[in-house]
Amino acid sequence: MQWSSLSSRLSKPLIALLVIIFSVSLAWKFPLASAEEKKLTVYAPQTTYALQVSDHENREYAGVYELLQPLGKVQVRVTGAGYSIRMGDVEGEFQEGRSKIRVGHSEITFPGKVVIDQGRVLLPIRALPAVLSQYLKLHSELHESARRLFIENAAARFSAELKKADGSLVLSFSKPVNPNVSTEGSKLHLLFTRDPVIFGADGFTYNDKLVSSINFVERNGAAEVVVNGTSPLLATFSDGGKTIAISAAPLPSVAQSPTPAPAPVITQPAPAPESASSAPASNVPGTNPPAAAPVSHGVSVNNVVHFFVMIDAGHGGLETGTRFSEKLSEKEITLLLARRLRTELQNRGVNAVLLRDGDTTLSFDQRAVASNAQRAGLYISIHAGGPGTGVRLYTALMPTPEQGKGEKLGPFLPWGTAQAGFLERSRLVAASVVAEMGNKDVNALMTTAPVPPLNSIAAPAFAMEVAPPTSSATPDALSNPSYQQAIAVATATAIVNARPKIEEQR
Amino acid sequence: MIARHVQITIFVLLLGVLAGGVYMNRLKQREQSAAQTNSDSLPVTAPVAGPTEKIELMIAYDEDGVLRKEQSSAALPQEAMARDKKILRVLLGEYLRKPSPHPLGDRADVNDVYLAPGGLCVVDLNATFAEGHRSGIMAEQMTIASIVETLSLNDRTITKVKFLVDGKERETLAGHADLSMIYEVPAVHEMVAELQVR
Repeated sequence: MQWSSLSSRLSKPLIALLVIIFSVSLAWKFPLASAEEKKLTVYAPQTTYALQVSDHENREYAGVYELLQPLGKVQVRVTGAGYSIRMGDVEGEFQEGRSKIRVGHSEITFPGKVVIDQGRVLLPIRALPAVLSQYLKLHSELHESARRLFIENAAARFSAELKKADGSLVLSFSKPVNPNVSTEGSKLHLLFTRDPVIFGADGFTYNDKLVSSINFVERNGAAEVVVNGTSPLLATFSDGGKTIAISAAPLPSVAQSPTPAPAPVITQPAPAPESASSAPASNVPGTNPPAAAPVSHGVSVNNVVHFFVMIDAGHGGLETGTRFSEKLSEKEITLLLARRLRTELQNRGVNAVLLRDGDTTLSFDQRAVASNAQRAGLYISIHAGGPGTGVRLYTALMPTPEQGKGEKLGPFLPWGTAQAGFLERSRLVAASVVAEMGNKDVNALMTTAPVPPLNSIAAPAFAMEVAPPTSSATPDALSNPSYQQAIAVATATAIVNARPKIEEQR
Repeated sequence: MIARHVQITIFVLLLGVLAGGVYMNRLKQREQSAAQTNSDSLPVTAPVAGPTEKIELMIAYDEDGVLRKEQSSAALPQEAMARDKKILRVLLGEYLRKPSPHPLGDRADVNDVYLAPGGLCVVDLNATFAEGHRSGIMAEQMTIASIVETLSLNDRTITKVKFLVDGKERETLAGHADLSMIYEVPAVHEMVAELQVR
């Protein structure tokens, strides 16, 4: 056979083969980044909670049971053709693949279809206000692009007034609010994750020597007010949380201490936004050495330190932790679980902050500094891996204090034994988590272990290592949503139960 | 019709892909055969003449998540530091066998053991020990507990243990367990006792 004839016959299949090999190797080398975790925040007059949002056929969906359950008693029944969800005397029928549902005596038609996923009835979030109005007989309003749903009169409006007399910007809210506050140069961010804050405009520009503009942004179930100043700003709360005065920060005069000594100025928790898949270490709040953090980066809150849980997703960035496979490493599992735990805590009314909310490299000291400087009420370090099964809770393995024994250090604690005064409460809350895991049929045990930075945390603290649920399960089970959810729910419930004890002596 | 030079390029690329596949397969086979001859990597100590002595080992069992006290025997040198080093090598020998109750990386070894005043024992591990160690709180915790407990069971003068890796301080064993601290034997006893409760 002639070369030209052979080559012309083989050339097309060969090109196709090469294209496939090239595509497969690219996909293997550069796997698609995991999608941002979407959530829908529901603001009801009596409560605020978040729902997980998933995508189906280019539409955003949320669970109907999860939507109704925090608002009252809900019963779910499997019917021949789908599911029946009953709340009070109103019953809804949901059949998979239908774009029409019946709730009570009304039929609701919506773009998209009913999706049944692992026993959960999912609806496009656009359909939820209509569903709620039938079940609750209440009006609700959806901010679809921001994924925020307001039921009846839950929204908290605010006004902004520039007070030339004392050179401050005063934000007055119709309800008490508790935002996470952070600063970035001369910008001040107020992040409202649970407060139903809305604003009548996108922002204002001021002709002022201190504040140049104020912007209001809603995204992924949260709202944020950004105040742009000409110099570092300070936020002061008053009127039971209904008024926030923003003024020029005092010039730095005293370096902050990472010790738990009372201080008139503290740094509020300031989580990175959900959308931040990657953030440089310098953006992690409070991770710089305390001596380098000027007082102006703080928030005065009438000397009261608000309780919040600092969730530290283990590893990150260059520190991958255990590599379970080419595509799955410990740092990714810990971040997923940390985000779930934050949501569950916030759903129970407990403020929670992620120490890293992206793929960031942090040293153990940076983690301890961030927690101590922000006066966390509880610190949780999350890890994942074998051997064994279930969940292990670790409290600090403390060395016996010898050096400096009896030496008076004033308000300071030795860095390596800062945990000593909190160990009893650390064990108490870890034991509470173990007990709650038992209620959720998750195998759990508690012990001490030499896990940094536990010894340097000046607050009740424990580390959690999650292993596969059974000995026959593969490491992929560690990223299983239902397994992670059970762990997050048990942990959050236990923290809420143990909170009065945790807060003793704060 | 595709130009001839393009066709030749495609054939050369395809040949390269196939050759790469064959080479990868050979590498894989070589690694597998190296793993099978792992027994060669057990720590080797100079033979000690004389009768064997009973020693106690605290062996970690990953499957059950516990440590168990077991007896073994070996000919031990008289000098205390060489004796402790030999005992640790017997312990590591248990872990380097296949199958192992608590696998360590191949060629994991103890460089030296030093005894300092005040009951301090400094254990210098080789870099392969740390680099090849499995990452995880429990896996690392059990290794440290096993070494500290075995040392204290056989040398009652030891009250504290400090770990070095190739003569240098190291932050963690494999990302989780603290190697910067000095381990106190009573605290490790307590930790092991907690692990035994199931």
